[in-house]
Amino acid sequence: MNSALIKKALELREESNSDALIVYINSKKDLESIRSLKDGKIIIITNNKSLLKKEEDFPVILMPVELPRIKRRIALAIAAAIENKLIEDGYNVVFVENTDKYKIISIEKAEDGIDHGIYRLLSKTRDIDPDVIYSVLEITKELGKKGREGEPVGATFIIGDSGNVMRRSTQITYNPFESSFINVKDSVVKSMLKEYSRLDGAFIIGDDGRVISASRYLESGKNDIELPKGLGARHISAAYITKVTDAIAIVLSESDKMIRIFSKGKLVLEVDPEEL
Amino acid sequence: MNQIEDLLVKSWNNIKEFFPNIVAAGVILIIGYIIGRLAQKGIDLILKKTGMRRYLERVEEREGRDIGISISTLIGVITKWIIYIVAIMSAINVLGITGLNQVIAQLVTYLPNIVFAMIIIVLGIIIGDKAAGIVRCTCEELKIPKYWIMGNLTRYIIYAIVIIIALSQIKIRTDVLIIGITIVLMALGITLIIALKEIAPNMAAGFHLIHDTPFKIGDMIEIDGNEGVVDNIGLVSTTIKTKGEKIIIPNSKFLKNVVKKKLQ
Repeated sequence: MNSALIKKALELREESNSDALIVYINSKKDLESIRSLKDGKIIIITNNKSLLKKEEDFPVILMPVELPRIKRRIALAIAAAIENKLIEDGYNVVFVENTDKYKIISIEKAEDGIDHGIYRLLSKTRDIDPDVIYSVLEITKELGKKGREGEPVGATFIIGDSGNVMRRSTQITYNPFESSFINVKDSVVKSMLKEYSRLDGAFIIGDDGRVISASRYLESGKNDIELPKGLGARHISAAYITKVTDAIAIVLSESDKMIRIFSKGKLVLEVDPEEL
Repeated sequence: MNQIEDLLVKSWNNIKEFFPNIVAAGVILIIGYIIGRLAQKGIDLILKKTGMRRYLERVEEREGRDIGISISTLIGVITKWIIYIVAIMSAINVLGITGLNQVIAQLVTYLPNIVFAMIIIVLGIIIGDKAAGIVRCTCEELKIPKYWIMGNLTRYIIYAIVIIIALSQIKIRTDVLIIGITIVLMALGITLIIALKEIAPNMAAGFHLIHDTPFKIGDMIEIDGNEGVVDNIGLVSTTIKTKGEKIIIPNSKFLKNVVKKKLQ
């Protein structure tokens, strides 16, 4: 660790009267040098699973995805600390990052909002690769913001438990992804999925990110599904499929342009793509 | 006084003797210069007319290279300088300076090699590019992910071979380079063989499962007493999901064993 960086961050925490110091690191060496400081109020966030050992003095939290944009990284790091009940809404936080790419210090205000929901979603999925959820969320965000060729579009992505999802759905038209190995984590695929969003029906995505099918008609029902009023067939069927399988659904509404995420038949997150 | 006069007369005689040679050398240099310029223009024109230039530029652009000078202009410039060197050499020959002459004579015998090396590099770039394109398209057609890696691998292997041939053409010793590249390729080959020994039969079966689709994701199947829903069909293994369990089965099993497919 750049010891000057952490020293400045500690000073800044005192001067700005902040409640917590969040440190984003990925190397073992950095962890050792922070441990040697013997400061109990440092929260460590990392992408590196091997750092997640028994830590008596410091809470170490895993960030399940590697995020390219700094703004989002800070927001999700704060959300992770909130989720682990280390800080609360309204706290002042000093954020320090020391990874290969960036060395950053900034003062942030913790906000218990959308990012908390996203973090919970990413960290609580057992079988589904968090990167896959994040990639699909990014695709939906872009579709929601720009639409396709300027017109608003709706889209449904069902992620995970693909065997059971396929059992409970039927093909509307020819499946363009038949026997292919196209993965949503591949950046090239973004524009491809955008183009295919003109097809009616849902995209089925495997828990490793493989696009299994497009234009899929989902089996639907309404037992025990409670949705806010005003949501149509697209949302009901997506909610139903997550109720009867282990999949999660990310739905972009065509009418109000909101992104809604369903898990176990419940609406777990509602985001405006403009805010994401 | 007499001595100085003698010296002056002598040198004047020397110059008088030498003068036609100087003029001839000058004329040769001027002709060489003109021919050199014309040759450069001619080569540019030929490359442009045959479409080679556009092709090379496209390759360079795609490779994202920026060395400040394009290969097609480089060819023109080198040709021009070859002609200049020939002209300078003949000029020196006419002047009769022997020491310099030998050095340049060696240089000139070397020139065809440079020309050949240049031709080999140009052809190599074109062949490498075409081959990479073919490999990439094949992989894309087979829907193999990350197809560009295969294409680029082909491209760089061809480039390596071309560089070795070109270097040996200009008589730079390439033994070490050849040994190095052979070792790398052999290591790659051995790793591939070891890795594929287990994987290849499964991959062959995987191609069968994916393209002939005896069953699809979502079908209920039974194999070896394991019954479940097909969750994922990969190239090497297939995952089926039972209640609370995920079972990963190597694809070759599906060719050897009886698979029961449940009909709804």
